[in-house]
Amino acid sequence: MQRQLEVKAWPSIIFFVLLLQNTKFLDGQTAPDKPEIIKCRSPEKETFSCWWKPGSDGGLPTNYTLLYSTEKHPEIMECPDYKTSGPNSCYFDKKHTSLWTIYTIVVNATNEKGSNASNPKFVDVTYIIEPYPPTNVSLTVEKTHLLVKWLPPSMADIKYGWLTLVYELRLKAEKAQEWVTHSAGQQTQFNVLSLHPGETYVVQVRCKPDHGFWSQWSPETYIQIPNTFQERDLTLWISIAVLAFVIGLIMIWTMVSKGYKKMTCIFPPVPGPKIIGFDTQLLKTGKSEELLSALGCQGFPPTSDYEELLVDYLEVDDSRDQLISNQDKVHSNQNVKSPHIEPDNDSGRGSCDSPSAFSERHKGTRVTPSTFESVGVDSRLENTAGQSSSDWAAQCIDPEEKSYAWPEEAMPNSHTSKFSYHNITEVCKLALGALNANVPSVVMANEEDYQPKYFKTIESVVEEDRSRQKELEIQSKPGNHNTVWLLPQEKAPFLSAKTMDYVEVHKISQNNALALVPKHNETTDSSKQCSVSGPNKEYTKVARVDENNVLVLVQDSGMQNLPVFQDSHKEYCQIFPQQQAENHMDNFPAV
Amino acid sequence: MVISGASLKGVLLMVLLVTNIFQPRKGVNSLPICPNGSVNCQISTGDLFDRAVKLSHYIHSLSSEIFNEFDERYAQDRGFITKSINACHTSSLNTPEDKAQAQQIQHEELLNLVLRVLRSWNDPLVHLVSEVQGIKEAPDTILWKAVEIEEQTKRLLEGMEKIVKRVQPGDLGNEVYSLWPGPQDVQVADEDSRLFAFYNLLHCLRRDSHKIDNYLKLLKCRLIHDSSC
Repeated sequence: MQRQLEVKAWPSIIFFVLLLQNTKFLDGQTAPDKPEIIKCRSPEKETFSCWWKPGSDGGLPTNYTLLYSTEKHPEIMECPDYKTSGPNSCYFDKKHTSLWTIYTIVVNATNEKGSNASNPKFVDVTYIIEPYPPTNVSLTVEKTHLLVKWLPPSMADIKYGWLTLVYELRLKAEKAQEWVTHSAGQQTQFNVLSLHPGETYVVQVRCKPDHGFWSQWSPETYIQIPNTFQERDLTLWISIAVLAFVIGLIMIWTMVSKGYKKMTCIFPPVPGPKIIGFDTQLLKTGKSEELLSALGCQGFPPTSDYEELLVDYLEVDDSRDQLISNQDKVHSNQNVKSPHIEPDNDSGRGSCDSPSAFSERHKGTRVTPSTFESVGVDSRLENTAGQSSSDWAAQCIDPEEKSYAWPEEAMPNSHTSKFSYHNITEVCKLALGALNANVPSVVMANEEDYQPKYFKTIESVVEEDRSRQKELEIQSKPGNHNTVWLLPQEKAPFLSAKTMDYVEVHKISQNNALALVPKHNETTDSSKQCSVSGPNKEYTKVARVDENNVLVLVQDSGMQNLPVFQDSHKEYCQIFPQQQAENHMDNFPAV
Repeated sequence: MVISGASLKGVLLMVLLVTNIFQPRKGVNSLPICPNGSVNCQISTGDLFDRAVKLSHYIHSLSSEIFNEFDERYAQDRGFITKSINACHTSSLNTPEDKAQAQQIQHEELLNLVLRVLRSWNDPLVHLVSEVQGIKEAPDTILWKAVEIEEQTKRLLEGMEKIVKRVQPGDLGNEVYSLWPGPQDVQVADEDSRLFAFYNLLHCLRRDSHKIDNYLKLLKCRLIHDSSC
């Protein structure tokens, strides 16, 4: 019923309203139009204001009231302050401002004829923050730039962190159209570079809260850039240039003063040879022979084990071998005196001790001196490539080491199955031959200063050999030792062994006295058994010992017996101190 | 020899110096990483606050963007905002609402409030991410932002717990605030109410994230810079 009444009443109400409006128009006085809330804004997150645009006042004085409610205070309240923010505005002071709550705001316009309410506006102060522009913008022309300073808006609470502002400034030449904008972050000053001298610039600054809207631009501030102003920040470039110049100067100076050092810095050199006693000057002089001589297994430690092994062998051998043992004793004595020569002796001896190993090593090796040289060079290269001297010594010791099997290389192809204990002497002889062949040509020239005594004796052997070679009608050139020694090897391996075998160093005492043992007179068959009785026929005599430790030997033409030798040895014994003589005599009775 | 060697060292030193000078200062912005489980790993509280403030600022920026996007796309002329008054699940928390209140409150209490607000958003954010995927034609940006907000809020909560441990050792309010009533019944809710639920969640998220950001910036100035930022 009620609804029907309402429905029936609607047209009459509308008619009445239209009538009223017509009468208003007739009178010229109506109720005010709907006002419109234009904007609400909080400049500092503590207060805020809202502005509205009044509609038509209907020809009558109209009152505008702003009513609001918040979430926490749903009751409707009226604006506390209509004046502070100007006409048609409402100012909410700190007491009436809350954040994180929705203000529902309505503006009512009222006059005698009636009232009209605006559409409600829902405002959260949190999202309407728009600060005032920065103040006190000051411009200072520095040497190379323009310094712009400003202050945050006076009402904004920056200090306590309630509001956080970021700044932006823009500038342009006075006559220019487009602004150049720079972001200054939270700083309150900014350096402007790249300004043209003599021009007048306009600068403005604005700010924005962390979450909110940009403020208006601050009032324009003008500055005239003086003509003396440096257009660009030259000091940076000048400093860079000076620095680069200084660095370049230092580098050039360093290069010039020690260019080689710099080069070695960039390209590290191959590590130098680390052989003890190796003379690096030889590298520079480029004498290959001397180089090779320097490789002769220096610093080789004495190997008493081998000595004992050899003695064991000799105990079961015949008397001829005991001579060899004496020979080895000679070498062992030499070891004490001249350790630099030991590797050579030992290498030869090593081949004596282990013929099987020797034969294995000898496979595939060649006999020519050039090969030996090349092997020696290789060994040197290996050593310079980083091997320590101790490794190097180990190479000399190790009989299985193929890379340093040079004593065997000088040997003939005698590694066939004919080896026996008797052959040991042969091998020893051959080894000694190889020793003699190698050492004088390689080691002697270099080591003469260090080992004069030993090599003088070898020289005497050379002399002996030379005379023997004459007998064999082998060409030789007296006075040229190298030629003498290398020639037999070039002929044939066996021949070289033969020519060197017929005189053996029996003993060299500490006083450089040389004891020689004659050997059998070999003609063609080098594999002929070494016997005690055979070689004793031929004999060599020591003529005298010079002051310079030179032993002068003369060939004894006649066939002499062992007692003669013993006699000669007794002569030595008479010359030498008694204790040495005793040592020698211990070896001789078996002969 | 000696002089050239010394000059070589000098050149090297100069080169190092120059490269050091012109090296871009990247290290300033990078945050030092503390190994897990180390007790005495001392990042200064100021650094912790810097991180927290950066995070909260970022979270609020995302929240504002996601709210505005959603508002433009779905909430126009639906009067959602009138319904959303007093509809936030965190509105029962008595947080300071202006600068005066925020200045009066003790920093310990304010820190605890931040913790509470953050914790109260754990479940709603999980729901938000799942809900976004159900919205028709939801742009990828909204989905991505929802996921990002959820992750970053977790990080912020961890950081805030560390800060609270530092500032007030021993008294870490560990209660779980399940202020959120939970998601609406999906079967009952029509599309409009679903959209409003989503709108309201985003609206409250935007508000609370701003609250947290504001409180943290205030606390940072108060505790680290002695109220002279």
